[in-house]
Amino acid sequence: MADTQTTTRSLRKPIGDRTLCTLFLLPSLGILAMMVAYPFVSLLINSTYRFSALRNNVEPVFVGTDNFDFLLSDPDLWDRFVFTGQFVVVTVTVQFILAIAVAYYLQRDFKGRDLLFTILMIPMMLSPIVIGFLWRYIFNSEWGLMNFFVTQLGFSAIDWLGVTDNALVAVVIADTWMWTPFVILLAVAAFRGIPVSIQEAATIDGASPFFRFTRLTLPMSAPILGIAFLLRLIDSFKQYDLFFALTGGAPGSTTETVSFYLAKVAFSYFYTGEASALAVIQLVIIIGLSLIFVRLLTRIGRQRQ
Amino acid sequence: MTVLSIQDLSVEFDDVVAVNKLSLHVASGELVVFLGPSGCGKTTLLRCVAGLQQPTGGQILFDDEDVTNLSPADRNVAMVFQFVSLYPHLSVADNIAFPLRARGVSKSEIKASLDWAAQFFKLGDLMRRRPNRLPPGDKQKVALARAVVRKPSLLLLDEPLSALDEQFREDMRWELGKLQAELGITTVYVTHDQREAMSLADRIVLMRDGKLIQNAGPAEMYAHPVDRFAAYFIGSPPMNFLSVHRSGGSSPWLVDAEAADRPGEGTAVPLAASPGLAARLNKIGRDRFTLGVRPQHLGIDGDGGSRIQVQVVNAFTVGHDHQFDFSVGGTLYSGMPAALPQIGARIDAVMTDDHVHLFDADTGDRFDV
Repeated sequence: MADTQTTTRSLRKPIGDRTLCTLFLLPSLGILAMMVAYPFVSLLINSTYRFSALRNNVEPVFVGTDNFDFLLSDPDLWDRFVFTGQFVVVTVTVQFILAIAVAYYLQRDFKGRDLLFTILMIPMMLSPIVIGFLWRYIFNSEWGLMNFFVTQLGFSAIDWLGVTDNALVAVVIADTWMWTPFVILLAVAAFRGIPVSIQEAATIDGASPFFRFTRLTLPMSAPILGIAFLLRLIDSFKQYDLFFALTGGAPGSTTETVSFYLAKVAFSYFYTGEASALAVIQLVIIIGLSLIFVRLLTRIGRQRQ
Repeated sequence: MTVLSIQDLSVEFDDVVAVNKLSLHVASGELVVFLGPSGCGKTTLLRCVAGLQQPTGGQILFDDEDVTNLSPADRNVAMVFQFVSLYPHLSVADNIAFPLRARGVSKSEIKASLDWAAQFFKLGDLMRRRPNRLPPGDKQKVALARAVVRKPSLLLLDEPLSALDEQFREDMRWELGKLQAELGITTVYVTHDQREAMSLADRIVLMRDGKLIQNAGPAEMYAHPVDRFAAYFIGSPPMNFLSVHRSGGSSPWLVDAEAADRPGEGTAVPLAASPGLAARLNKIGRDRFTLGVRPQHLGIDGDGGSRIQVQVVNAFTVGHDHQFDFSVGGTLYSGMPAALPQIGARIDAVMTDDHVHLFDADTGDRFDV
């Protein structure tokens, strides 16, 4: 008897589950600290200094909030924010309207569904720079595919990339082509997540397909659609590469987004301090938007519990 | 109110026949229960009536109008599902108003209907709440309110109580009966629980393997089951089935083990048939059949009935009822005596003659003698 007891005791787990979890998490936490925490802290510090990464021999000068004051009083930067805002609102709205309309028709099972969804994912997997250059050819006012169709339809050729408003439309089209499938996939997943019995109950209750879609499917998919919206909002707010490849900020610098401007300050002018300050501003805006959204989503979730 | 007729209805899935050429008739204002074990096709049949399932053959008529190809919305039926299917993002009031809004009913009428529902189902305090936090009984009450608020021609209930606790179930059963009596809606109720069926139904449609086995009132079905399956499925504890065969020996009838393939083995017990039963057995004129008797009609030491001498293997009391078990050839049988016997005692198990059912040993069909 005594022997059995000793054996049982020595068989006890040498480490607890929690410790084990922490051990497994450590490597990724380490990477995360290196990739996120360190740059974040150094960004905060850099934003309070005047210095350039190019000139290592010049001592950085501590300037407090001077970088922020300078940026926020720069009318050019405000123009960049306004333009970025326009782009975000238009592109996200267009993508969601399109995606929800398409997802409505893709809810049911049909032949070739898997293949279609695989094809839908291709634009997302391409590099935005590649997409930007592809669309740049398509939008070429002399020999681009877009103007070919436009003139075929009897309209006069459009200067797609030489006029600010047209350029905005062009980038929205490219961005929509790239990201609408993502929203479609999430929307279809959300729609299909609604229990069949609820749809059947509504059918028996006499609800038309449209009534069911607007009164049941959409509201019940709100949490997932909300997350998709937040992701698209943040992503398009940071949009840089498409503009870089498609318009290069032209005409003038009227199609530069905030991120574009940030890249210029950081890597063309090498005003590292100011660039850091601008990055902090951008971060604050994104975190603010996210907070509002997460609050909204949790409130919806709580109501339904 | 609506009369429902189902004619030669069939539903075939790839290689399964869920409903097999079934015909039945539900009178106006009647509450009919589709009863059967799971997989018998009762829910499929109900879904056909609702319009959620397209039959592969046959017709469904509402008041002589063929609705077989109408959409659920055009049939004006209402349905309550087994798993609560309230709309989680809408308040109780909005849930109940949903079918009215879907049909474009005016605001004042909706308000009147909501007031009626709140009063009838006593939902006063719940109307503004969201359904997910309500207790299950209240959820089904709301589902019921949503179903009847638009005055449907038919009310279809798919195991509405099976997800509820025993206590809620009794409440809801009472509520359902009251509702049906008061509104007089023609109602079809699907369940696998014979107790529920017996207590609620005007008429029971007993199904098995997609076929209609018996279509009768609860009392009739209990007293005259058409076959062994019906006899077994209705009543609790279930009916005892004794295999009886004719013997050339001193006692003319022997009770064998259930297994019909070993008649005459050593386990057989003589059946002392009363003159009445002996006359019935002789009238049928078979050498083998199945004798069915409910535990309620199998006692000890009464006089007049047919009897078999057995040893009590188990005896206990549940609430008010005594029960004893005995074994013949390895099969366990139960009786409900007036007084509890000793375990191990050899006793005469006595059947009440009027309640002895006789079935064909091979087909299970009832002998009506």
